[in-house]
Amino acid sequence: MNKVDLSGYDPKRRAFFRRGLMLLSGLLAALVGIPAIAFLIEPLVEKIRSNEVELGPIEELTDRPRKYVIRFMTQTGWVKSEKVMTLYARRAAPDSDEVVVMSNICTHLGCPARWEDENDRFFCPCHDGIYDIEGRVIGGPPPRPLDRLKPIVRDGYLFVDPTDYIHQIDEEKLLGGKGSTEEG
Amino acid sequence: MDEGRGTAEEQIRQLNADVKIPPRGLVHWLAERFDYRAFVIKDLDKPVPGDWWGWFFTLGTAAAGIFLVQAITGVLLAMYYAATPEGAYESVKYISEELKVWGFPIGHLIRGMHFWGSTAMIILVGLHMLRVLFFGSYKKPREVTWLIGVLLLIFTAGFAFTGYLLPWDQKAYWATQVGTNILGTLPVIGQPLKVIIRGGQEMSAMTLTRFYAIHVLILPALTTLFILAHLALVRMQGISGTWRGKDPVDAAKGEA
Ligand code: HEM
Ligand code: FES
Repeated sequence: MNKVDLSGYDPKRRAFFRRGLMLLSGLLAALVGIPAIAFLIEPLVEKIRSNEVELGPIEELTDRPRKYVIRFMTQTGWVKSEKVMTLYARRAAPDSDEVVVMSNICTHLGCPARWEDENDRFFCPCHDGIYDIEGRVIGGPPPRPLDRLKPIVRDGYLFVDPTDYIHQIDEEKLLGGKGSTEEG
Repeated sequence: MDEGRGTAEEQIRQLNADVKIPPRGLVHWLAERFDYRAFVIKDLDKPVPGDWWGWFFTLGTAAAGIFLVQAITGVLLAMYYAATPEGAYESVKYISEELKVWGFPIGHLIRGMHFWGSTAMIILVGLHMLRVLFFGSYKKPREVTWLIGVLLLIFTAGFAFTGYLLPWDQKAYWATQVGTNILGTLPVIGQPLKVIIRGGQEMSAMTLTRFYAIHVLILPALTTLFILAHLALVRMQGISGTWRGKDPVDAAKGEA
């Protein structure tokens, strides 16, 4: 049986190194752990890319809804894709400068609703959802009024920022998944 | 040397028993249930042989540490990476240039860690192998540890080779073209092997997906498994000594 000279072993020295080692390990773990956590939370701080799209000159608007089909690029991660969206714009009153812009996406399950001028209503064919000119629900299953987009008027032209709106629908978790922004 | 103090391990254990467990808190709670010191002292607190030579014995652990860093940063990158010819380059570019948190280029940092980590791992594994060679630690009874080490060396090279293709840029593409052609020059098995590795006669989307599968599924699983076996052997046989042969560990094993 071999015996060993342990006179070099000093418990205090070992305790010191033990603590040092723990500190060093903690430091190394933080060096990898903190960037890893920052990386993981990135979707939370992802900035909303603003994306103004022109609808047209403001003169062409009356107090009746006018249909616009807009196309714009969106980016999710590294994938850039073109989106198509249908909007209705009108003046709040015949000679008002106040503009109202509404989405045609039915708040029930996301079908496209359309303006029926002769009936003075928006009609969604999927489950007979009916809205008035203000977008208020007057019949059928839709739970809330049609969504509005903030109108941006500049130099006599009307713009909207549809990316704002897309984020908003995602947040409200429209029934029917992605809130189908494709033209239907 | 005084008689009757037991083996070196027992004496070291005795010294380590002086470690104080705090009177409350998580460590106390755990130690009350199982005295983790038995594990820590036995497996994490082993003295390293030699004086300054001892530092060479840390190289394997350093390689294992870098492997862990690669695993963590690799999983993170996989969350944003797309292994298709259309997506690979774009997604890597996105990670490097657009993935930011409050303006801080976190994607660039994580990719950088994985990139430099791969080089560091090759160097550390190489140095570790040289230390085993120069200390003669591969000799009986440690041949199997060495052979497993050879596998680990191959896996490490495999990580580097398959990982290099993933950004799918010109450098990656042509490096893999050259690499797989070199493989093709092997007698008899070369050509079939090349076709299998490429997923076809030519480099294509098939090459990218299979390199990705090898890089993130096959190699991590195999490497983890064999590192565990490698470490188990080192622990079962005890670490070899230095050529001075006077360190406590060897003496305790009675084989200096
Ligand atoms: C992924 C790569 C590798 C890792 C993570 C790794 C890890 C380790 C660790 C932690 C040890 C304990 C002691 C020390 O660090 O020296 C060790 C010992 C050993 N390694 Fe490795 N190793 C790797 C690759 C290799 C290679 C490429 C070889 C040789 C071909 C090799 C051969 C050995 C041998 C023979 C021992 C026993 C040494 C002794 O008992 O003194 N290893 N390895
Ligand atoms: S989706 Fe419009 S009424 Fe159901």
